[in-house]
Amino acid sequence: MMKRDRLWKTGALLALGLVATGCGTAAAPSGGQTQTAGASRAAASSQPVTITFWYGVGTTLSQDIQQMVQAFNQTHPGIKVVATYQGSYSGGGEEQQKLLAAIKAGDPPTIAQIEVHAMPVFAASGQLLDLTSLMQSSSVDKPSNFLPGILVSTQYQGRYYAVPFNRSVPVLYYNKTLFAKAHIASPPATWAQLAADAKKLTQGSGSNKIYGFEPLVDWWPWEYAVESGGGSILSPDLKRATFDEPPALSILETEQSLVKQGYAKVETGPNYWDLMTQDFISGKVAMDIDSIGSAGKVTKGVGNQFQWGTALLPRGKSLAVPPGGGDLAIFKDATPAQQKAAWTFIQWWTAPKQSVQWSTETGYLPVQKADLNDPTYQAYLQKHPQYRTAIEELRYEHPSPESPAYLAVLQPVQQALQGIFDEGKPVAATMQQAAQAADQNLG
Amino acid sequence: MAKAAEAVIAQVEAKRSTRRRRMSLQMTGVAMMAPALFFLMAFVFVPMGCAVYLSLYQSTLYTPKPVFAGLANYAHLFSAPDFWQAAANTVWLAVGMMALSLPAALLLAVLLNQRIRGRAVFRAAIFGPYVIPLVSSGLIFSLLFATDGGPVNLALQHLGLSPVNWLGQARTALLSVLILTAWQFTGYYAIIFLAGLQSVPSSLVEACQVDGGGRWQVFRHVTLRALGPSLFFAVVICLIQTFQTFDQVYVMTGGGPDGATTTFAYYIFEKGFQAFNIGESSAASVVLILVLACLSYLQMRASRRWVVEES
Amino acid sequence: MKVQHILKAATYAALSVAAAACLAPVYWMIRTSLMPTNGLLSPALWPAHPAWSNFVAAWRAQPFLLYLWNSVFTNGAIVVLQVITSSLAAYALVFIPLRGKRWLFFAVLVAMMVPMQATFVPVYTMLSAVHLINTYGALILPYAGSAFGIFLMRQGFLTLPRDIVDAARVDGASEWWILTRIVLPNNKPTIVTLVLLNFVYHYNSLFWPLVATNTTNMRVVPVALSYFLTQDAGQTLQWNDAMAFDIFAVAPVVILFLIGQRYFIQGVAQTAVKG
Repeated sequence: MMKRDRLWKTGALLALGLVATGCGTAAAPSGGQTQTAGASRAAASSQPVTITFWYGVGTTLSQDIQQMVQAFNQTHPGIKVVATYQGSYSGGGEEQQKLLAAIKAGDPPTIAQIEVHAMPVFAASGQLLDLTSLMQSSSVDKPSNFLPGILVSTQYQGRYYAVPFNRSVPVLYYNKTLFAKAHIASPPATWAQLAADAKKLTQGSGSNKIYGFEPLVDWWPWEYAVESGGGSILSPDLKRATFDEPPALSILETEQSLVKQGYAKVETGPNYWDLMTQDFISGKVAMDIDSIGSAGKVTKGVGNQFQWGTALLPRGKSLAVPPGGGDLAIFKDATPAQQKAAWTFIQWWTAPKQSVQWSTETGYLPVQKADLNDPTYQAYLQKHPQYRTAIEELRYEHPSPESPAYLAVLQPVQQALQGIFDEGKPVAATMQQAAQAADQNLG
Repeated sequence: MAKAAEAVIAQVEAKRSTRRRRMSLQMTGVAMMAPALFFLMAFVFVPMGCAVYLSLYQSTLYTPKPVFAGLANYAHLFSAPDFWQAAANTVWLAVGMMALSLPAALLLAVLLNQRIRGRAVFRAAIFGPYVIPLVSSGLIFSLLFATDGGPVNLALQHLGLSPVNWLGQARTALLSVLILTAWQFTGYYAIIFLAGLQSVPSSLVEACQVDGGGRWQVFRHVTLRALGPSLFFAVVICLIQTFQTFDQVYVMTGGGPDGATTTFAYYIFEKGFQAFNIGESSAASVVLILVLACLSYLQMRASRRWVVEES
Repeated sequence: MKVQHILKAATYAALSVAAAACLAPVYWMIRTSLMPTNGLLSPALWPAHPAWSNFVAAWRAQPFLLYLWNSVFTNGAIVVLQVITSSLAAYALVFIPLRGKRWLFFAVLVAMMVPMQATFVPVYTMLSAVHLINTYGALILPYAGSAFGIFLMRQGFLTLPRDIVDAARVDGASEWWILTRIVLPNNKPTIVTLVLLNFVYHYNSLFWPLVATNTTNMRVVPVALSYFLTQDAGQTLQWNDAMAFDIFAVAPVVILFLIGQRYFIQGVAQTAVKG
């Protein structure tokens, strides 16, 4: 009997010990374990330095990346880049989830594509390599080489932690054919004009109804709406949500009233974004606010059915354009050799030759000043004038709040937006609730 | 169950009458439990302990050193409206399953228990959805409920009604998830009930009929009573399954719109993986584990009372 | 007589409706997989010209055979390990008097109910500490012990008359001999049931493989399916391609089910009848 009791007790103690060690590593991924991981990785690959690259853009974009990585590997015999699609890189997408798990376990990739709004949280985790001095001494990626505005999302507390990769901005898409029919000469420059135009453009009824406008029920254009309306998302010390104050709500209120009056259409549900783009393509709406990244899809979808164009987002009190897309960051965990190889890869990718190739293949923004003078890119702009708008908008780029808790702020905001547009909840009260929830997450 | 068994074995051992033998049997037993226990320890119980530990710390991706926070994470959780919304959604799903799926399953079981032709085919068709991956059925039902071109809306339009944005509206999104879940699991519950029905001793039925009992009385006095354990088992499993609801939400709605389809398990995932708040996510995990442990305990207690002890 | 006829007809009618409701979504999946892209919004019940090319496109988009192999190999290994660990543990629970057995069983029940979402962070951390993340090991080891397996095996073992075991013991047989020569051979259906039910269960599970693997050569079918959505079909709402790929993903389990139907149904019944 004694023996049996002791056995159970030993077992229980053992389990407790395991809990302590298991949680210990879970709670504090410290250097020791990860360094050995890095060392063994380096030792295993004797000749070329192998670096892993996680990204989160699928379909043809994924193929483009794989092709370019292959080209890099062929021209750089000392380095082998293994690039893997990890699911979506967007807010809460699989790639972000995996990065979180990998960081908690001290086993991240060498390079990762990071969504611009997630930059503060990853930078604050202390896991990203500070690229400031590397950039300043680089001939390719010197900060002054980049297009003004495009670096806003790559900084955290004054240091650079990433280099722009697949960047985009929201722009106003408008159906020129419908505009001409309604005798409107140019796209709206302000929200007052947009509201008036939307009324004129709305026609028909039932399933043949054409709506003047369609807002995108998403926190990305919401950032623009808050800042351009004259409000701010968070207080300057980043401790409090301020997006429920009246100026921050003005554009949302205009949008909601357009919806309520029947001049604007809304798409909801899990595919809301695609559905909105589709609405524009099928001519069901005359204007929408969509990513410049959708231009390729729109070009292909519209074909010769009608004329369309892009314009600067309409102004509220001012124009503040949020950054969009992703940047490339290097993880500290990598061995010095891997870090060096990763930096070589990033500089190669952002050099004008490659970045122009990437931009023209995908429709993402060029990142370097030199890209704009590149003959290939100029020819591309000739053919696709829509992208000019996006490049012009970069001048109005406004950084998103630098709070590591920002993603936890966007969550209640997205819910609130769905409430406002899907269910017609009152703007001010709904945003107040969201701000309270955000405050909790900030505190 | 152990008492009787122990007595029997004790007798056998008394015959052999060596203490040694008993000890070695004990050791063999422990050794035989060891592999399974090791894996369950390492991958279920230790992580559960970790969840308790992590729930007491303020730990996010951007606080590299977790700070002890006592019960603050729990306080936070219980004061957050979205936690209660997730709990309410889960309970709503559970109630919905019990109101919709279980009675349907019971009816199907009674029908399948008749002497009819093609019984095996019906049984297979009704149980079939259970083996389909939830990711797949989530995908299929996203198509069925699609606003444009989805067959549900096509049918509505055919009847002259206007199409509904099933997954995009708070009122209908959770209902859609419920319908998928009922489709997936009703056949499973039907089989459970069928097994219960088939365990009804025919002697009892005959006795009741001899006593002049009609169809309904036989059902009420014999069948339903015999079904007790299966009914209880199904209710508990149903609760557990709804508390675990994740895949279908992940595929169909991502917890939206406006948090309308966020379930308990999805909430844990969202807190931890999308808001990067490990502490609060762990606190929610602990609450879920406690709820499930209570359900398990109930199930064990009840099965002891209802099920005839193995002899 | 007449009442009975009506009752019988009603039974058939009700069962037919139920079976149709269960099969309708599958039918719509097949129908959509054969729709040409320009007919995706059409209300046709069957495509006029089935577009078999959707299957070619879905097949070419992803290395499906690789994913299938990963799924079959890892889940095969999982169920083999589960049969071993579960039958040993169930034997101890049923045939060997152990102290605190009731609590052990309770622990097993709890383990059966806790979803992976509640425990995966520590599991991930431990596995990565021993460099097993993104290996077959990461996919297999967390499931090598199965609470459900123990539960099911215990149910099966309980039906075996205890006298047989006791008699063998009196004859001086070792526990190992009793397990492998008497208990297991008498529980073949239970083993088949465990293998089938848990193979399907693990084949179907998305969450852990999604977290624990990060290269294409380790990807399993459900993960590929969820990526196919975001990567190839989701962005353009190509339901036909998505459904074609979905059919590839579902086919193996449906075939298994059709072959081993009896065992699936028996298995579910067995877990329920005795608690």
